[in-house]
Amino acid sequence: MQQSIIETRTGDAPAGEAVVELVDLRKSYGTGPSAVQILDGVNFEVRRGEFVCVVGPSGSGKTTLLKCIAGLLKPSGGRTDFEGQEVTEPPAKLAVVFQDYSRSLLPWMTVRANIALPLRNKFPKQERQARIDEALESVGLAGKGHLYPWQMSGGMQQRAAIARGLAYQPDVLLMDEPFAAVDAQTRIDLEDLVLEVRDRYDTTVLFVTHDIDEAVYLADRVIVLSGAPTTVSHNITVDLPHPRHQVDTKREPRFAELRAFVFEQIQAAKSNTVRNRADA
Amino acid sequence: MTLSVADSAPQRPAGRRRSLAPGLGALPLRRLRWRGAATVAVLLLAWEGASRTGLLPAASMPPASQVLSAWAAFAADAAFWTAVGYTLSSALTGLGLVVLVAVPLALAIGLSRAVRESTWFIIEFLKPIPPVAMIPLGLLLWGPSETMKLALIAFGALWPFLTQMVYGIGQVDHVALDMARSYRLRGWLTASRVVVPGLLPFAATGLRVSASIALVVSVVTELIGGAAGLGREIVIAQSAGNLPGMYALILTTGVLGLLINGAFAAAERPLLFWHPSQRKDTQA
Repeated sequence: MQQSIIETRTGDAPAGEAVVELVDLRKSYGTGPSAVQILDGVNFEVRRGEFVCVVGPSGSGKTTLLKCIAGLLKPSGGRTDFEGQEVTEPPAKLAVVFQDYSRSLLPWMTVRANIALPLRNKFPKQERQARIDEALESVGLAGKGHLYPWQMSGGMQQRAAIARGLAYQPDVLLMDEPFAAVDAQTRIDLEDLVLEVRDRYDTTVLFVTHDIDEAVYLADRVIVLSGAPTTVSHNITVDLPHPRHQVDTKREPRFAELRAFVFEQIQAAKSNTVRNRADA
Repeated sequence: MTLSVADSAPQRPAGRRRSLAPGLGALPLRRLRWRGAATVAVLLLAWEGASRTGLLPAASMPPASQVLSAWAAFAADAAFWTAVGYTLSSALTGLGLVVLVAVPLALAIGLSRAVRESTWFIIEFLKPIPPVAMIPLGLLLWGPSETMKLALIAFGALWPFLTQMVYGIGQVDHVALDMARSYRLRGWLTASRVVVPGLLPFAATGLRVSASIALVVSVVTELIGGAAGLGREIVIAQSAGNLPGMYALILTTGVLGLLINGAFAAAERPLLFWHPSQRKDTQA
């Protein structure tokens, strides 16, 4: 019923050059009759400068999808392109922020050294230091670089992980449920931080989350995944004004509408998944 | 998970998030020292009393004071220090051999399923054989020599370190590895900054256990196999009826064990300052 007021795009390409493009992406684990099809022909693209959120019910292969885009997993079929090149290894202009910051940050290195590590073969020493300082400053960790990750709160650790991604100066920042492990208040702060640094660094962001509010609040476009085996069920343009504001944006009737729509799609996908599993 | 070789319940060096029981290292050192010293003093006094009152047969168990004075006399005895040197240097050399053998072996077992599956049986078969049982073979091959000693020390002390290393390789954090790959870190950077530091806690635990075993086997090969060192001195003292001297030598082996353990624990601290078992100021 709300379908009519939500613009879901399928064919017509939006303006801007595609930086990430998924073409009939498929991934299955195992072989023979025990093989499990996770991704079953996923198609969407991310244009330069866009903030795209991918949401889907749990078990819909969000992390698998992200790993294929990052070049960490080889697809079983179809392909993902990064800036026009087929992804066969992790692309140089892409950085990943992992959900589990306590494991992606190395505890034996200071925050500064953690951020410096990926820059070692990329930039000369002088430039490295400047980039690290800027990245720390932009995530609100100026002067905290000498700390070890375990001396920081969870929110600060994820800020450090974001700073590592930013200092790398990628064209695309890939974020895998980055705020799933922090408390609600910290989460709100970090959401606004991501919007802020996205403007400052002018990066394209592909953000995977299971949180519908978060997706609608952050995104220019929300990709809704179906349940496994996964395809794109909806591709929704979020026509909320910029800059976003935690209170004002969320108070808008349009926010509630979009939120409700995405929620319904995910509920439908969930019951489909149950049905598919029962059939199998 | 690569528990196939390591199924004799390898010690995980203190879980990442919580340790159920504090290790000895977590106790305040000062309290440990005072209580420990007091216990030793009480035991020595009890020994002295029991031996003097005839509760312990004085013929086989001379009073503690006699043993301690024999011990004090050793301090000025060059032969004693030579024996200590033999025992200690073979234990440490044997431990070096263990590292040389175990590191490539653990890498092969940890990284290759084929190697893991083809070595599992032979390793599980060799592991429970007491090194003492290999002494006759060692004597046949090399006689009561340093070579015999080192071979048996290496054989006995190999397993804890090897098991921990294999386990550690299986535990290398895949999120950290994904991070390294996604940032396109070169192979040597991934190895030196991501993999090796993550292996250190396992290596340290394994090495500490292996070091204690190396010392034990070193003394045993001297005692039974007749190689030069504290063990042989114990046999000589016993057959000469020098019981205070014999007990003083036995106490020496205990002190050496304590020192080796302490030395390894002290060496771990600066290397593993970041590990939950070592660090003091966690905020998160």
